[in-house]
Amino acid sequence: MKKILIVEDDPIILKIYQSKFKLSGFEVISATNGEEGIEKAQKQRPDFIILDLMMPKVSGADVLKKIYENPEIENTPVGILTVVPIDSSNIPTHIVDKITFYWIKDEIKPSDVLEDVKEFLS
Amino acid sequence: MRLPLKLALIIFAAILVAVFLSSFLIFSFSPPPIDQVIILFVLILILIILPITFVLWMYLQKIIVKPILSFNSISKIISSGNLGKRIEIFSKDEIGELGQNINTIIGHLVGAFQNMAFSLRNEKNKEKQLAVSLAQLRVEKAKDEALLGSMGDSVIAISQDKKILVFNKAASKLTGFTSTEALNKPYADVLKIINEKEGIPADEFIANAFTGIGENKSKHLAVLTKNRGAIPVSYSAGLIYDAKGSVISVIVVLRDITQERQLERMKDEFVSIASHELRTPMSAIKSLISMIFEGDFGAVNEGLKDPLSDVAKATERLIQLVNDVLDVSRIEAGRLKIMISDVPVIELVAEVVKLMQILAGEKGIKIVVEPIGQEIVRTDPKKVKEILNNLIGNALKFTDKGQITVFARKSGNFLNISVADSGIGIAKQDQPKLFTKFSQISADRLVRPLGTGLGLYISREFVRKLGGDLWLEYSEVDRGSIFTFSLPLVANNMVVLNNN
Repeated sequence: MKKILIVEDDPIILKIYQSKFKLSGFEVISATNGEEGIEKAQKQRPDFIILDLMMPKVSGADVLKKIYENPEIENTPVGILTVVPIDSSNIPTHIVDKITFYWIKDEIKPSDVLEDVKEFLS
Repeated sequence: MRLPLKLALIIFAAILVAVFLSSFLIFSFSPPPIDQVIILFVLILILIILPITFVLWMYLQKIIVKPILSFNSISKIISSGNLGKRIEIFSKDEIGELGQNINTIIGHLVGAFQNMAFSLRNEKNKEKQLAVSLAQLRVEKAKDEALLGSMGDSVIAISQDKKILVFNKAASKLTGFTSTEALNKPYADVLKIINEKEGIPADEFIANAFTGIGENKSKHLAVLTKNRGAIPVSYSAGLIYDAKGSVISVIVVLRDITQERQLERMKDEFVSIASHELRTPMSAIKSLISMIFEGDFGAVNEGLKDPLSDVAKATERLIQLVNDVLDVSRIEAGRLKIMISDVPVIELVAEVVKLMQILAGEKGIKIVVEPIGQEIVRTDPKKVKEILNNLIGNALKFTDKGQITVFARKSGNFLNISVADSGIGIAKQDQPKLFTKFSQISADRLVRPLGTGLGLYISREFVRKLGGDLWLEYSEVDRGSIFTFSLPLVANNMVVLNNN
């Protein structure tokens, strides 16, 4: 069973993606802020991370930096799920290159995200 | 004139001769005693001299005393200011001539007086006019001062020799220098204009104004104030010419834009919050509806499918509206970012058409793509897809029968991509409004769901940012329209950019 970490501060969006991935047989762990996200990524070693960008305290961009700075988890694939266009996301270019997916929340459906992740992990 | 005097003398002499002759004759015949002779002689003499003296006195009275008395009284009248009076001429002798001469002198005097009075009147009039002009000038000056004083913008006039001539209240407020401190000082001592980012002096636009060099307004400038640090300003410089057309001074107008900056920041923040706070719940609705339709929450009741699909459509429109407004905000703030790569146009067209074909199918319309070839354009693929989406979406919205055709033609270094429809067309009077914000075809011609009225505006801004343009190629009411946009082609000798 593949393990997926969803880092999202909006409870409804979080709930939507939790149920979508659970229904498809994923083990879903979740974090509602960046700090918790980094902690869970380090401890629970997910196969894939879905990460929101705009979060209070530690932003998604900071979470990304921490992930890629840590050799133990730096290869974990990350998909950004946000409403912020990539060109105004403040993510440094060298990190942008490492991102696996960049989804805009109101342009895609949960099933598209699920398909992308499933295809990537297969 | 001398005749009466001569006559008088002749008569007098004649009488004397007669008296002497008669006396002599009398005395020669019977000489009287000497004392009687003397008495007689004296008597005769008295008898002769008295009337003569009287006559002479009368005569002199008439020809000398009377005119002189008349001269005297008239001269008194004249000296009292009545220049209209003239001396009466009694005789044609020297005294008469004198009177005539005096009259002439008075005549000249009257002329001179009249001239003098005339000049005096003129001078007075001139003085009055001058006083009026002066008063007008004062009013104008007061007006100018009031205007300059009440202006929110700093107005500073600089003379040819680079000294400050005018320094209004706003300029004092901005720079911290009073007008007394600033006036007649070299402007560089008071007006310290710097480049906002680099902090280096940047007042060359003033010197350039004197030489007539225009300034591009792209630079962000600030004024280094006396005690408030640097304050961001917008600036302009104009020239004042004299009657001969040569430059006498430069007017510099500065505006404190601190508040505008704050507003800009607030607007940016608002856009950012709106972006996040509006789009997140909308995406939640969109996601949930999609999951309901996919059966993630169990089978959907048939009766619910229709209202749910309406909710989905309404949500899509709302998302489109918010995104359009955000795009406009980015365009206007100059924060529109593009991510360039080299892509075959056919791929972009195919991708959009594939999605739109479903919607077209629902209306019974076909979208036909004419063979485009493998032309590669250097562009932002996401933006081009949005443009195609907008043009094909519009075509679909306004076409009820027939078909929509997408085709491309090479034109120099550009590829022109066109979307043609067989729809309702656009009336001539509506065409100029097409690319303006929030413009829509007049509602009475159109009873159907309207969009945001931002699509064509945003699309054209996108294309222009990508180095091309967007225009209405053809349109006729009830026959359809063709919209075309151009994209720069990647020339053969250009390095092809990585597709990612």
